[in-house]
Amino acid sequence: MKKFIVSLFFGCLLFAISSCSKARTLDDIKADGKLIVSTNAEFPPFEYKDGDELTGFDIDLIKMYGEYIGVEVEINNVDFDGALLNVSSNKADLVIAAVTKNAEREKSLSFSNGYFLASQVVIVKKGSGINGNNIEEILQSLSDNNAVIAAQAGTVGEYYAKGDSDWGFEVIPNTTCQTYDNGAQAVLALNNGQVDAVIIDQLPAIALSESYADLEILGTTLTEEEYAIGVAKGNTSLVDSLNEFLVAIEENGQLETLLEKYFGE
Amino acid sequence: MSKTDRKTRIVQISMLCVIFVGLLIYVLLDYQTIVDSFNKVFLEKNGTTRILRGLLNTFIISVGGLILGLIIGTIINIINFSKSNNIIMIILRTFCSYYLSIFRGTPLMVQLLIIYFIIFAFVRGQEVTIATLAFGLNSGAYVSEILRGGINSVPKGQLEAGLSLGFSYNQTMRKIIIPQAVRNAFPSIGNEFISLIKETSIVGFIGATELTKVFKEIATASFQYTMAYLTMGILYFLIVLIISYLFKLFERKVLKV
Repeated sequence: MKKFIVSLFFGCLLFAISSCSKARTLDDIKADGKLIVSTNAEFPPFEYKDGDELTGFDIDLIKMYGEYIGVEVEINNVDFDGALLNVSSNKADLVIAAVTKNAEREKSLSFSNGYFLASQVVIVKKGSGINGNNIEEILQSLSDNNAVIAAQAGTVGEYYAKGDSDWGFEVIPNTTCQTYDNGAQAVLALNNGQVDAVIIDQLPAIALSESYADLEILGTTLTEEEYAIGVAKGNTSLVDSLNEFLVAIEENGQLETLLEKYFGE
Repeated sequence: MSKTDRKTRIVQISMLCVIFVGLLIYVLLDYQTIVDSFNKVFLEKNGTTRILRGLLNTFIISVGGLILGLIIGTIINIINFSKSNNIIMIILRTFCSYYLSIFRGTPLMVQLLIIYFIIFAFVRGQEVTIATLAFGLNSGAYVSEILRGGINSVPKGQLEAGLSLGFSYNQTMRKIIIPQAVRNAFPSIGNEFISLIKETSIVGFIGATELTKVFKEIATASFQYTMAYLTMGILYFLIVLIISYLFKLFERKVLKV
């Protein structure tokens, strides 16, 4: 009996170690006929829900990619931090969620080439006294006001507000950072007066603060960054194919059409 | 020790040994990865300090919630068990019954969101306090039911005996019923505390930092989710283990149940 239990246990252990699932290569995905994508549909205009329908720039882009390699696209909508982890734990083949590509994240994920230039901005209440004409002035002003800064958990905004050496962001003195599961809640807390500022990507900032008359977005952008599609570390076949695709749609003008559809410029 | 007891004991110990050896082998096989992962989770970027701060908030919210819950629960029971029937008591009693059905009829998560984003929309930078308040209000409803159960579990004959011995209703309640009721209700209060501790894991939704939130942040930033989530689970488990042990000890030594 004891022998049986022991061997059962080791059997389970070996199974657990060996079954640590592997990232699926491009061929695996094509053979399966299904590309599993993870995203966080709370980030308009890149990914959001229009009624029941998942939509946005990223969603259209990845559907286009699905057509390009001839597979069906299955999209999992989860929290942003979950969306990143889904890929590194191989629950999804790739993450497209306005993910900023950077050296720190590249330690754990592989990225396609960038497909969109983005930056972080600060949203504040009108007349709050937090302002500035350049980054230094804005940071000084946040610090002078002992600001409570809100951000969406796991996004660049959080690392900027908290200060993170790996991202090259310095700590902003006298401020505290509070994170919410999505940008909309952070903006709601700002409008309620529960926090003093929100640091978030520029286009979502515009989309999220649109409905609040009391909020304004400071003119200066804090960062320069690039959105890219994240895949499991070392999944080169998928990265190569994504890069090929990005070049192809740039050449045939599909990217241009898509940009126009969502950003009209 | 009977023969079956000894057999059980041997099986238990050997199972523990097997698990321990298995873990040891796993650690040895993957030593470097585990050390790296440990460093990323606990040592880099003030990991341990942040975890401890999260732990502290978890405690503040659950202990504060329980204390508030006990106060509210007691008040509700005083109101409900008092015999006086003037208009104020009727209003209070109605209010209590509404409170109970609302707080027991909606998920804690929903209550938390409403309390934070709507009712206390004007309060700035007090996420932990608001969470404590929400947990206290929620717990008050459950504690009040637990206490009511405790009081009802004392045989009716005790009340009758007290009255027939010349005690007033209030005296009988205070001197005879309540002491026994508290003893009966105590284990359930312990359970309530344990569930409060576990439920604090949702306060991240309103921007408060507690244990779950800290580990989620660390997992996302470092991608070391295995180490982060497993340690988080073990930590909660240990806390609950310690708390339930303390409650059992208190029951045995102080209440002499």
